[in-house]
Amino acid sequence: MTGRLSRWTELHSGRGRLGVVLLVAVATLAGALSLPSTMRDLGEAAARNSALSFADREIAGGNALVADQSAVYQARARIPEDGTYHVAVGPGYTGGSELTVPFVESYYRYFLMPRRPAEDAPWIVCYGCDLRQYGPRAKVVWEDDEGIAIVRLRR
Amino acid sequence: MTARALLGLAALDLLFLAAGAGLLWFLRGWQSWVELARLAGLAYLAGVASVSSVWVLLLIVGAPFSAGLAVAVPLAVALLGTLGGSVRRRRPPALGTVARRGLLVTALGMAAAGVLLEGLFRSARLSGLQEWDAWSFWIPKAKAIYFFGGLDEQFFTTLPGASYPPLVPVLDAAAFQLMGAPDVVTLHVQFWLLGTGFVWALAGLLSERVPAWILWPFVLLLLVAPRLGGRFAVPEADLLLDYFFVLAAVLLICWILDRERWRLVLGTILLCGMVLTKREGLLLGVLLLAAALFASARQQRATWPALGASAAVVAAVGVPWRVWYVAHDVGGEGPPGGFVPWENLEWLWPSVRRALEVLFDTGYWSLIVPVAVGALILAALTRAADLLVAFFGTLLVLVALGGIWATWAFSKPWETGELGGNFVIRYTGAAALLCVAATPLLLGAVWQTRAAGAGEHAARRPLALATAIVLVPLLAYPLATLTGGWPRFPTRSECVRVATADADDLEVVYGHFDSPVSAEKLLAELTRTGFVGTELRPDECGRWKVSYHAIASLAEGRALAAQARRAGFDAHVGRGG
Repeated sequence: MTGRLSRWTELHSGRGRLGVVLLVAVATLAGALSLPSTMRDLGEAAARNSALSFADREIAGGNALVADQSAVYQARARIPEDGTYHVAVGPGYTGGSELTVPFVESYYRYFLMPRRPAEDAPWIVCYGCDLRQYGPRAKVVWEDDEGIAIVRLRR
Repeated sequence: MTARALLGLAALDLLFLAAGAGLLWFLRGWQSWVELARLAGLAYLAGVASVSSVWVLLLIVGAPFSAGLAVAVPLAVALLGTLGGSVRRRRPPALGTVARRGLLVTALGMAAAGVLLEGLFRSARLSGLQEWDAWSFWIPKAKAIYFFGGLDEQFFTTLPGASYPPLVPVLDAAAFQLMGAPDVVTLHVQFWLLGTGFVWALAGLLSERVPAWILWPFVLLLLVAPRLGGRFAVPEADLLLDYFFVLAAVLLICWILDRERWRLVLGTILLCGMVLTKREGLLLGVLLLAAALFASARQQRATWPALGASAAVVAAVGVPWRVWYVAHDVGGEGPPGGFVPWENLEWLWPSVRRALEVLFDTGYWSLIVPVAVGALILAALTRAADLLVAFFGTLLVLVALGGIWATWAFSKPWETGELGGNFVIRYTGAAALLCVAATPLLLGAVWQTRAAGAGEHAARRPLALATAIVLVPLLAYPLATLTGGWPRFPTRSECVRVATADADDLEVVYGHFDSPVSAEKLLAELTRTGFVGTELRPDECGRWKVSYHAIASLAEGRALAAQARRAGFDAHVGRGG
């Protein structure tokens, strides 16, 4: 049994080396053929990233969510770093993209840190919400044409 | 985005390298500086795994995370390694010599890989944080550690993926500390460095056993594969987990083959990193140890107790995080429907198909997996490397089965509309990267030619030629790209736009401030001096701007600005009012 195995191994060692050459050739070809397009894609990505405005680069993933870049900047500029805020999205809000309503709150949580989200916060980032629900305590400190407002609740 | 941030990252990563080099000095010593250069990538990633694991354990026991701690831990690891090496009477490394065999092929491979890595760096440096999971929870966790100094209960219990171990967030937080700010743009460079370290580590480790002409095509294939090299700079945990996994796998099989104990110890450190990086790290770690047990079954008296000890150390490091999240009422890492979701039995076969489709998808991994399967079959037929075939064959099958199980158990197709969703693709990256390491080892064994021996020294001429082959493209590529202009370091000041002609949005700008307090102070001074009507509002880059808007023409604006300057204020006519 061992002798038969040994003969099989000897017979196939030459073919084994041929197989090695073939597989290395396949890998080399695949890599070499992809190299130019990979470098081109990387160059284009670098140019695209470099051409971004400061705000587009800083907000990045949020550009698909926040509807208005000014809103996140206004929120960050107005809410103190040790303050708390709440993102309220009205049921009828139709601005932004289809991702805005389900995910805009998550994005603010990332962008506004170290400010903390809290249900009873004095600052409200309001996406199409009904401001009347906050009563006379609510003061709109900023709003845009997209139905977004930043509201300060007086104690 | 600043040069200072890049310098901070460089300092952090040199600390990782120093820590890993110290560990290796203690564990095996350095015969030569050439050897140190070859294994520098391995030392770097060992430094990342060991230092980050210590950071995580310190955070769990409540140590406040600061710049001091970020620097002290790698320094301590480096110092302890160096002292330990001295106690073990390690000799200082000699200069060493470069092996001649395969030198020119190695130089070509290094040049091609280097240019690809330079291209990846260019695209990474000014990349915004687009990746969903990154801004959704990885970076918020990192910011929480950076801002609040620890595992802040509010964020760490309510963010998505709350049970995910915090090694990557703490690594990000350390980068923020050394950069001086939570700069999520420059953070991409940190992940590029991890990827570069992995390529270096893999090439350095495999070059001991694999001829250069077999090794380098697979390194290049890794770099051009869209879901591997293409995601090097993504600031998420998937690829870092895969780096630890693949290097640990290579170290374990090499230890089984040659019993050099430092490989097992280093593999154990990387396994510790795995279980603190992602929940899949637990699964992959168990599968790796199982494959090592199976492959070394014939030498079980020698290997199994050591593997058991390794498993015990990994478990001891992995448990505290699990205790922390259980103590904080965070849901577990297991699948929502239980480990064997019998009620979803109808998804089992589709899960098998989905996991295998992803594994063999050349759009993700190029030809890496089919070539690896070919190499396994070839090595099995020629019986050239039974241990390697047993180990990598078992491990690959186990990882594939793990992918099928995870697709079946974790899928929520009623939510995502797709079986396995993105999860199975992320997970399968471990199998694909494993193939990159396994294939050259298997083919090298079939070829049955020793890699370049230490005794074969390079003649001066080939060495000079090889150096030129490496350096010329590495210098030429950045020089060619510089013809488009010097690298930019964008700052918020790009929102300051000086007016040069009449326009509808002219304003006189008195200053831009990060702090509203400083801006309000200037506004009060301006109003007190008589510049009534000046306003305070955020600019397009998120800073507070003190400006006056009722400007009809450039001439009127310049006159007002001149008047303000005479009164001792900075002022210019800008646009954007």
